[in-house]
Amino acid sequence: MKHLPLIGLLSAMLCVTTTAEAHHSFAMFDRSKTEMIAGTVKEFELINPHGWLRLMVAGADGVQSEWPLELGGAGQLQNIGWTQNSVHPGDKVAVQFHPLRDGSYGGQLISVTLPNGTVLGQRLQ
Amino acid sequence: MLICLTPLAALAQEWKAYPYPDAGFAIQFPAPPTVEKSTFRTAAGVSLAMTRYSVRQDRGVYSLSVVDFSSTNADEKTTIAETEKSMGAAGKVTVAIDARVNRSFGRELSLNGTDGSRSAVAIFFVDKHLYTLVGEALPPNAIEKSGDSIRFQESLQFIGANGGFGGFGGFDAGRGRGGFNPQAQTACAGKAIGDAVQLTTPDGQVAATCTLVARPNRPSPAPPGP
Repeated sequence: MKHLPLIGLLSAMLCVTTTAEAHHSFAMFDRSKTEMIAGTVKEFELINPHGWLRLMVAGADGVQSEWPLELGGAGQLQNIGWTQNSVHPGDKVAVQFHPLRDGSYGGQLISVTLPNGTVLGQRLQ
Repeated sequence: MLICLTPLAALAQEWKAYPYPDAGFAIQFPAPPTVEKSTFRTAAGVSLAMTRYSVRQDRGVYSLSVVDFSSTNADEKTTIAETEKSMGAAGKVTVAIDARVNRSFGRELSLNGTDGSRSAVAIFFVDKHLYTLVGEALPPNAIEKSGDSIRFQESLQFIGANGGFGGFGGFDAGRGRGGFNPQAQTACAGKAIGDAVQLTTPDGQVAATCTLVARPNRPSPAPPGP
């Protein structure tokens, strides 16, 4: 128990680092809004400067559309448990994200719920 | 110290990072870009050298134009404002917002073209160079491809002495966590994760290991004191 403050401090430092590392301002994402969609993973890239998760999402008319969702950098994500095998093409997932301001398909990922119920976020959980 | 590597290109199936250290930037394209040199006429009627890097693929056009203003007295604020006005005339501006890439501040726009296209635009003025990025999703149903325009926009990084952080131009200035490092990418090209490489810093050679991020085996020496 005596280590809890230290753990808390380290966690806070990692969260701060995650923000400080961002190479751009995320201006195109409306971070005042949070939306959820479900879809099928088309591609997952754990890369720098930002990872990307591409989902195929069915619209009301049944037409599938591609939704690119931006993640943090590879190093940031690995620090909080993401790996190249965290998400696979074909996985049915649900995501929380900040939408694009102009209404385009895509956004900034907040968290993804995997088929087994595991939730991966962009911050220490 | 931690040196963040650029994306391992092999991990991306399509999009890949293309560094242009001489032009002060790196960006991702879905295919090797065409590089064209031409001239840009300023509002004052001065012709300046312009280089355009572009790819057209799958109903998307991704371009970055770099104009060299180093021979002029142009200032950042005015140049960005004039460019924003010019770009905005090409359609309906749905979003116009201040933005940052690395340590540089500029503007980002979303444009709906009269032809049904949708564009993500970024305008920056770094080291007396105007960078105008346009990711355009073409009709019909441009919205379906517009996410890739944002991806293109979000991949822009400035590298070099003043623009970036963590590149060897700014290796010491960027002490702490770094960003794009073209030398690290080159050193690890074709190597496996875990392979040892040597990186050259202003203070000499540094041993590093290839992974998704390369971590030097010893910190870079502190610069000499005054």
